[in-house]
Amino acid sequence: MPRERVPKPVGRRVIRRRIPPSETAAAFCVLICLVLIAVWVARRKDRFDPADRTPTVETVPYERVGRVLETEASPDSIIDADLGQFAAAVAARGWSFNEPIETYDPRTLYRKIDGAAERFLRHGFRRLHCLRLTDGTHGISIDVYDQGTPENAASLFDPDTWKGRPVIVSGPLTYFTTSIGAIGTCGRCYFEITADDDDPVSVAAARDLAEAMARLPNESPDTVWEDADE
Amino acid sequence: MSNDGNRFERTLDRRTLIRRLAAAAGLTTVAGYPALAPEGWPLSRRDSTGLRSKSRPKPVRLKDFTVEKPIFAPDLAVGHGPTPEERLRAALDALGGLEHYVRPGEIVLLKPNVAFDRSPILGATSDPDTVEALIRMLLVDCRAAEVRVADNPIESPADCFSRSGIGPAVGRAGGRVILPDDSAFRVLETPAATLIQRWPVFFRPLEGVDRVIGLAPAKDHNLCGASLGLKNWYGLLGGPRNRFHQAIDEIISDLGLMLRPTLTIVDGSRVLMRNGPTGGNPSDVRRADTLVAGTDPVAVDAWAFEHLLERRGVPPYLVAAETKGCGRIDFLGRIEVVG
Repeated sequence: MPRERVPKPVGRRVIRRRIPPSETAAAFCVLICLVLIAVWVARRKDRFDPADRTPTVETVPYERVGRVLETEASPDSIIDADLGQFAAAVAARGWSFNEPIETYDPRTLYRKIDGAAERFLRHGFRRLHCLRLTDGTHGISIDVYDQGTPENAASLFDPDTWKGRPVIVSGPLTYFTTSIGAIGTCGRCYFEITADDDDPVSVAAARDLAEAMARLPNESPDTVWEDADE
Repeated sequence: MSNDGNRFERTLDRRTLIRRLAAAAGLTTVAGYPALAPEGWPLSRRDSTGLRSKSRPKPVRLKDFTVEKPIFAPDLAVGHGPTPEERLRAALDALGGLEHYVRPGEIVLLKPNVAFDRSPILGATSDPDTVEALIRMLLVDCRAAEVRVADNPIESPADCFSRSGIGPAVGRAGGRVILPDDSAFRVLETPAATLIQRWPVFFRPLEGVDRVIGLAPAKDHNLCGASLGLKNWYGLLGGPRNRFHQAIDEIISDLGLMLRPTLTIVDGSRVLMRNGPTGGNPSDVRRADTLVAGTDPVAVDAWAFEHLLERRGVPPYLVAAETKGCGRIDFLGRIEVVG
């Protein structure tokens, strides 16, 4: 009867002359599992589910591309940011700033309005300030383009757009209302006020905000807005 | 071996010791050489700058997503109607039915234009109602396994999807929004292209996709005249893509080579007639209640340019696209108008 274990002459390890059927069966099972996994991986490769790595809207770490002047969301903090009477006038109308103000310069303007930036750059664009107001339900966006001179700002008006609409002139302020807000100029600034929808309350508020634009800086280009960036 | 007691005893002679030491030294030298040899030497794996170990993902190529249209169907079809669903059905049925292009169990990428965080009223983005209706058709009529909706706006993607109304519309219809992040891009090879032979593209939503449908708004564009179906694919580009504005006709025609979609749809629910691509004034927007769909993106754009934007001629980028073989401008005799 052969011995099952024989000592190797040069070492302390033992070798076996016979492998039990149970171990053979287990090895085959492991092998089959590995083959099945390989087949599954090969089949799944082309059916990759991007959801596995898709961030949700809440967690996506997108970059706030504009220069953030303030991160605190209160009217007072906006005033602290040296936006002056303009911010105070807006806040007085009962809408709050829930998002930081974003500022873009000629180098970064495309990040806000990719494809449309050239229209403003052609007319001496200096800065864009974007404000976002909300009353909890509705939203209003205010985009103020500092074009350097009143002539540059006025040249952004498209005659086809406001033809036939009553243009309101109030001191340095010139604007017309749209169905969801107002568009106009004040001094060297061109502005667009846009409600998110055609809800009458937010549209009325957006139009009303146009009067607040009269507080926009009219001084030379390097005064108020420049201070705001520091 | 004289007896069992000496079985495991063995003396190590000098010759054997030297031989083993030499073998060990040789193995150590061979193993250590790649790591220790100066960078210029053959087989050296030294990486003092870290550049060698930097991952270099292989560029990817997109497959052709086109589907052969039925013999009787035109290349493009126009749908009129009061609701987005009626417009879609009219146009797509004329093309042979959406079920012909999307089979049960397939994964579909729907690419709307979500470039700006603007209200849909301004016409700068795709109409959310049309997006919703199309997703429902894909999921219910075609029994698609999944409808992905993706775009890569430079502004905050989450804000753009939210304020354009497209994010909520996708959620209501049962689709899935895929937002871009840094790891979602792959370098795409388009050998025939002029400007984007190798360029990073928002690739994650394209992983494992069977069909691709573009759903673009019709709008004016201050650089290229019009932003329609071909320009819509610009939203998949990553990298410093704003540099392409200097050669916008070339890049748009390249986009026709980069991606060959199953269907191209240009929606005239709201047509931004002036001050595009961002708009800002609702009076610049015209409600056309018309939609054009087709398998030839160049013909679709040509028709939309003439009939939705009401312009004469063709924009230069379409001429370039036709020259590159992306389609044919001449749509006469290849179109059916329904409704």
